[in-house]
Amino acid sequence: MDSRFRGNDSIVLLWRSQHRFLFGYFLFFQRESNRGLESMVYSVLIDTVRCIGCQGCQVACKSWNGMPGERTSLGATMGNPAALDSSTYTNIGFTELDSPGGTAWHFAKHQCMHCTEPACAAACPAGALVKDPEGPVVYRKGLCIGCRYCMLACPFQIPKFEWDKAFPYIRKCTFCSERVGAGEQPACTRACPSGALTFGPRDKIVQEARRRLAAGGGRYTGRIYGLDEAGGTSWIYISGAEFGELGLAENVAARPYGTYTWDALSKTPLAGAGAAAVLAGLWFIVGRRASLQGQDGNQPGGDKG
Amino acid sequence: MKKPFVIILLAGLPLMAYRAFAGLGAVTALTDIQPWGLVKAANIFTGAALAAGSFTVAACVYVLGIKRLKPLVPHALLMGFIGHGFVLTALLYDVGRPLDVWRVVTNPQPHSALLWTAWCEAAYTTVMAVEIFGGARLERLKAPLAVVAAALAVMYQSTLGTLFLASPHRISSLWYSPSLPLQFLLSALAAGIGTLVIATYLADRAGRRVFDIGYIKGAGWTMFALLAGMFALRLGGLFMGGGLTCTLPDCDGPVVRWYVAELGFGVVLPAAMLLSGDVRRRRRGIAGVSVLVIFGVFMNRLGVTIIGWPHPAGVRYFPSALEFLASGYFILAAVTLYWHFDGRLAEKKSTQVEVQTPAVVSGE
Repeated sequence: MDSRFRGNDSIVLLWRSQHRFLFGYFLFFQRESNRGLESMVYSVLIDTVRCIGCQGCQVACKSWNGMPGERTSLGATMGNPAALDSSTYTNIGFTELDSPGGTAWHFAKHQCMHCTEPACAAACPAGALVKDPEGPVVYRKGLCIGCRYCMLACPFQIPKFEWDKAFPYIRKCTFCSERVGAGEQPACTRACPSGALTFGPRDKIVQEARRRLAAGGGRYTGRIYGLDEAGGTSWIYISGAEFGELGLAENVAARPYGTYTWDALSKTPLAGAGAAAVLAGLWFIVGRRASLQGQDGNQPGGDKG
Repeated sequence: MKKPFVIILLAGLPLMAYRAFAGLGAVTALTDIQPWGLVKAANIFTGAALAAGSFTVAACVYVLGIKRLKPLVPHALLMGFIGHGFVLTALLYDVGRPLDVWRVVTNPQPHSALLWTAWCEAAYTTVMAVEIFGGARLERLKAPLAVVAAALAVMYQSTLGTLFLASPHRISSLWYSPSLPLQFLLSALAAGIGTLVIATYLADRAGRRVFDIGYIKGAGWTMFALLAGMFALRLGGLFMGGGLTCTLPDCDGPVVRWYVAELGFGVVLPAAMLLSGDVRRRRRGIAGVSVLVIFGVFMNRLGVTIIGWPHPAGVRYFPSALEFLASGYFILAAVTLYWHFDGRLAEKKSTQVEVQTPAVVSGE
């Protein structure tokens, strides 16, 4: 499953024995040390109550991924760019909501949720999208055929397509898998100045989310988004407003979305085999009848069936 | 080949070249919200259904021993081969990275419904090519090949429906139902038979072969049974899937109207017409029903792929002119190729008859 470095591992070992001082080795060593802990699935907690809407995470994301800026305009809310696209992996949505204490602004970061059992990975015919055991849903662009089925399958509507390119790729948040693999945290969580983004092992992150909800004293809605959604996600939210109002996908079922197709797919070979068996049986019966009629001297099988 | 045919076939090449160098965004109105569009709905999903007649006829003749359909077999196989060939062509046109599609062979991901459709389609087209080009040497293998082809076709057509099971969050509950695989299979069988009826009818009008009334004997009731099954599945899906309460925000007027029109004109009306013996027994009647069935399947695939999708920004996807052009070109090219080779088949048969006739006469 360690797709990113598969095939390089033997080279890494060679390096390790002779060139321990190399920086490249340092990166891999970090990775090795992470791998030692079996249950190390990384996660990020997004606390919209702590978010101040500075969009530093957006800048860090663009800069780390080398993504071009785009011409935007100031819309009704101050979200900018207004939506995710093939060169924007994350953005902050600004929502004005009326609450008992007056009108309040809510800021919610949007990006790939990095599902535990991703629908996109189940949909991809060539295995271009895979779940890394460390948490990120990784896109191996060399395997992509551009079919865009992942875009249909994702319940959060995250994968975006490079429509303007002759040789396009799918684009989405990478969870900075190369940074996480090297023991570093993602660019966006690193940049966050207000503690709205917390990076860490998933069990600890969920624990922390529960602690904040318990200690929140009415500032939170009391629900954790991403705990059950689509079978659980690596990025989870707590907030002071309904998640649907913050632009997060509503009514996401609590099961991995790949199971919707697999329920039918797993029975499909049976349907094919059944059709073949029925036809083969009919063929045998029809042939038998024809030969019997032939023996009786009747007309061989004509219009039957 | 006649000159107009060649011109038609070459006419699409500039568009293909433009798509190859400018990308999908230049030739389609597709967006991140609507990633699959007209070419998928019309040329791939409808095209695959229309091409389903070939295995039905082959199975009827070689497996069930319905010999009166035997003269249709070469024409049906030709139709299936060209039809599925153009499904693959449209797929290559519509896929973002056509040069990389071999990845589905070298790095298959078995949980993907799309992988299954690709493999079944490739295997099925191969079996059909063997049947067409294998000639007389394969006479003993005809029945086993027909069984294999039928099994592959059942898997292929139903998996095309399975594809859409991936999007319960996007497809209107009017269309979304766990029975989509079975719906796709039944409607493809009905549309496949319908396409063959129309092709035979037109060939008859062109004087290529006489429309033997035996060809459509049984076709009427078969189509009726398929349509009735389709109707039952649709009603079941509507009641079980909550289509009546319709929770998605997109169950607005035009979507419901489309749904009713599709079900009414594509399923209920042809089924009701088939109850009349006059319609079932007369070639014009059954050809008319076939047109309705094909139209209904087209509307159904459009519904599942495009019409029944929510559009949060309120902006509806409407295909660009170049999408209509590409889609129309693939259909026209397929029909042109079929018409040409169907004519060749008819010529071959008539010369065979001429050669055989004197021998029969002298034998008497």
